Amino acid sequence: MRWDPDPLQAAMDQHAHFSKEGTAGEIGAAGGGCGCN
Amino acid sequence: MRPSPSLSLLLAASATLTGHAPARADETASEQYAGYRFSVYSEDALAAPALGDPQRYQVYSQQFLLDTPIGNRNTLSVNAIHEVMSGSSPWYVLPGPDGKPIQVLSGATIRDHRSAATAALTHDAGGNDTTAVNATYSQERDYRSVALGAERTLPLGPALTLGFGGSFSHDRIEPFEATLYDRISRAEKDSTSAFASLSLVLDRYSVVESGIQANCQSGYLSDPYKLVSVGDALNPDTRPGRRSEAAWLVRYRRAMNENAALHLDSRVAANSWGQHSLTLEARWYQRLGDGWQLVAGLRYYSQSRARFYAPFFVENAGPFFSSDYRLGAFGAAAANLNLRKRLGHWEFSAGAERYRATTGYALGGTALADPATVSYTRAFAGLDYHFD
Repeated sequence: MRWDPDPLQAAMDQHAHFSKEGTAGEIGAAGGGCGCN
Repeated sequence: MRPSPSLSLLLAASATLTGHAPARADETASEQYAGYRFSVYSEDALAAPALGDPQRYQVYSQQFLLDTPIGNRNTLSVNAIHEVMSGSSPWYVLPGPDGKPIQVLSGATIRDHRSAATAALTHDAGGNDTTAVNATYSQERDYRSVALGAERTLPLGPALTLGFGGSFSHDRIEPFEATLYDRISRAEKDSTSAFASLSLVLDRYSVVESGIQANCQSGYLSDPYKLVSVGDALNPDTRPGRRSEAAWLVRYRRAMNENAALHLDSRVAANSWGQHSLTLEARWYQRLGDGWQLVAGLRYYSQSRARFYAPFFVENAGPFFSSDYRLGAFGAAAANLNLRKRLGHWEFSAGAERYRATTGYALGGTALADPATVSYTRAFAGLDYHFD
C-alpha cells in the first residue's frame, strides 16, 4: 500500500525538507541517515 | 448497495493517477516498474549580513527505483541515490556592532558526494495483510549510515487496518581536517524508531490514517563543522547526547472524481530539546486528458527553537549551546508543480519547488532571528517505465 503514489518524488521531497528542519520524519520504517545532522 | 472498497484498493485508486496500481484488491504484488529522477537544488544567497564564501549550497541528485514482483505475493524494491554537493555552509555567528547577528560561512567551498541504496522486500498476504523489511546503506566521504527496518499491516475489519513497525540505524562520522580545526576525530550515533497507525476507509472515495511515532537518538548529535560564539570565544557546537521525539501524523486521501484526487497530510511533533513543530501539506492530482497530469502541492512548516539555541551567546550559560539554524525558530512555506505525461509504457515528468523559510513565518513569531535560515529552488525531471 502506498500513501504517496510517486515514491521517488516523495523521497526527494522529504530529503530536501528534513535536512534543514529540526524535527523530522514520515511515518514508517526510516531509511539511512545523512551527514546533515 | 456496493460494498466498501478495501484500503489497498482505495489507495490504488488514488495511485492510479500516477500509474502505480494493482488492478484488483486480491492482486497483491505491485506492478513491475522502473523510475529515474534528476534534480538540481540551489540555495538562495543569504539576506542577512554574512562573511566568507558567498557561494551557497548546490546539490545535483540522481535517484533510481526498481520494483520487481517475486512470485504472486512478494515485491522487491531497490532504490539508489547519488548526490553531488558543493558550496559554503554556515559556520558560526558573530554579534554585529548593532547587536544584530552576522553569519560567517565556511571559508573553503565544500565538495562532497553521497551515495545510498535501499532494498525492501514486501510480502502481501492479501486483504491488507502485509509484512515488509528493508535495509539501507548510505555513505559520504566523512559519514556512513546503516539502517534496518520492518513494518506490518493487519486488517482489523473490513474498513480498519492496523499498521506498526520500527527501525534502527547506526551512523559514524569522521570529520575532515579534524586535527587542523580541533574537531572530534570520530563519533557515532544510534537512532531507534517505532510507530503505529490506524487506517480507516471512510466511504467509497476517501480514507484516513492516524499514527504516532517515537524516535530516540543517542551518541554524538552535535555538528562537528559548526562553532558557537560564546562571549569572546568560539566553542564547538555542543548538544546533549540524547534526543527523544514523539510525533502524531494524520493523512487523508480522497478521490474527488475519476480525474482528480486530494491528498492532505499533517504532522505535530515535539522533542526533548524543547522543539515543537507543525507540518501541513496539501496536494492535488488532476488528469488533463491525453495522458497528461498535473500535480500541485502546498506545504507549511513551523518549529520552535531548542532550549540551548541562540545565534550567539553573550556569556557561557552551558553546558550545551548551538547556533545551527535548524535548531532555531522559523517557519517555511513551499509550493510545487509537477507535470506528467504518459506515453504507452513510458511516463515523463518535470517540475519545480520553491521553498522559502524565515523566522517571520514561525507560529507565534520569534525574537531570535537566525541569519542562516535557508530558502531554495529545486527543479526536477524524471522518466518512468511501467512494464505491464
